[in-house]
Amino acid sequence: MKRPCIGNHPDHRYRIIGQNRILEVLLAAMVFSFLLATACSERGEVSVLYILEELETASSIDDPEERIGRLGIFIVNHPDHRYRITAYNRILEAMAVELDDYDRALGYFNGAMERESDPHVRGMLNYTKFAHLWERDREQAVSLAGELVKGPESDYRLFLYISYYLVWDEDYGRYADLARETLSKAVGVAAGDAERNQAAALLGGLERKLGNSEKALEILEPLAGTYAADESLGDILWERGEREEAIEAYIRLAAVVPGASEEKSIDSLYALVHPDGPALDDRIWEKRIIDCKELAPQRFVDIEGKSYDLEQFRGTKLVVNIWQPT
Amino acid sequence: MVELKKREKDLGFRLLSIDVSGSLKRTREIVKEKQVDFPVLIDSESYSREFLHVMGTPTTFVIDGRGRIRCRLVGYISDLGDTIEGVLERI
Repeated sequence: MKRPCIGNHPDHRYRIIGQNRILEVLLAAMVFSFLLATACSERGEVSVLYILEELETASSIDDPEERIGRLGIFIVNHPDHRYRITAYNRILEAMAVELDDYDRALGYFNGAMERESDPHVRGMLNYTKFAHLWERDREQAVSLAGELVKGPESDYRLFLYISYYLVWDEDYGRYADLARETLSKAVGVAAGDAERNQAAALLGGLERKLGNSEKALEILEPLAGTYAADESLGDILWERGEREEAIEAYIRLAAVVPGASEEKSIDSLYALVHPDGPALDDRIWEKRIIDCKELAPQRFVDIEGKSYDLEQFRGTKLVVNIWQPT
Repeated sequence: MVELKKREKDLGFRLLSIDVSGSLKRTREIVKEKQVDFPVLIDSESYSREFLHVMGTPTTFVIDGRGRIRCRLVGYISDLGDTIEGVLERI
């Protein structure tokens, strides 16, 4: 899992003038408040692009102290926007890593946790702390994970992301018990079926890797049809000699994850089970085409500020790729 | 995706991408580097997660003319163009 990172932009695109830091911060706040007001549309919305530009500008500042200050202003300017999570992460990274002042970062973290009530923001702050400790002091990280699992935090992604570290530790199985608890917590706080099934599928996969096939099967069988579960399910069923059922699981997997076909050599396995059967491709295509819900209306802005409404594409086939830069 | 864009006319679809990162500068760098010439939308309201239930990237959806989701593909796909062609032929 990629650690939250500071902006890695060598160009110093903004510089606060003046020597007095308090005055600088106040002046910057005034300037940005003015700019914020002028960036509002007729309906009072603030362009998401403007917000991101502000975040990137703040993140681009070379001097870590100035950067921390500007990112702090960003959070003040946008106290309810989800991008404040990125600003928090970049502040913490600057303090803990760049300035090597963990105590200061911890103080800032504690202050943020006192202010923030949004479970997701709290979750991501805790995740940042965990991820940093994982590199710095493994024992503390594991202790934090244990506290979080027992505590009141309720952000699904917090527990999911922590589980990745615990499950895929280089010494596989070392944190098995805590991984189980973390994934069980993720299942418990999941907002809907998709999240619940994802966490449960990971839990089933963990049990399988630890050699607890019966327990894994108990978790995974109800999740058949969830691609995250079908891989492990297929593996277990194949090992148990339930090959036809295993192939069905692999077909469901390949329908959603085309890359899995080659990874699992599904064509070879299929040929063993159905030497004279229908073509594997046909079976996969049967599962691949679904008839699901309609896209909910949504308006987006692109990276150059142009607006798009999904409704404008009605009548046209769409291919929508969800991605993020690496 | 850049290669897939070239097949828009032949296959009769529009290509959109939705960036969930919030890293505007990095996204713009990649768009410029790869000479991306299709819309790159910013997912500022977690639409991908909240409505589409995207759990990891890349995830690709194919939507028919009625606006219904007809296919969901997860992960990197080596023959993306052919796979999408196969979906579009069948919906």
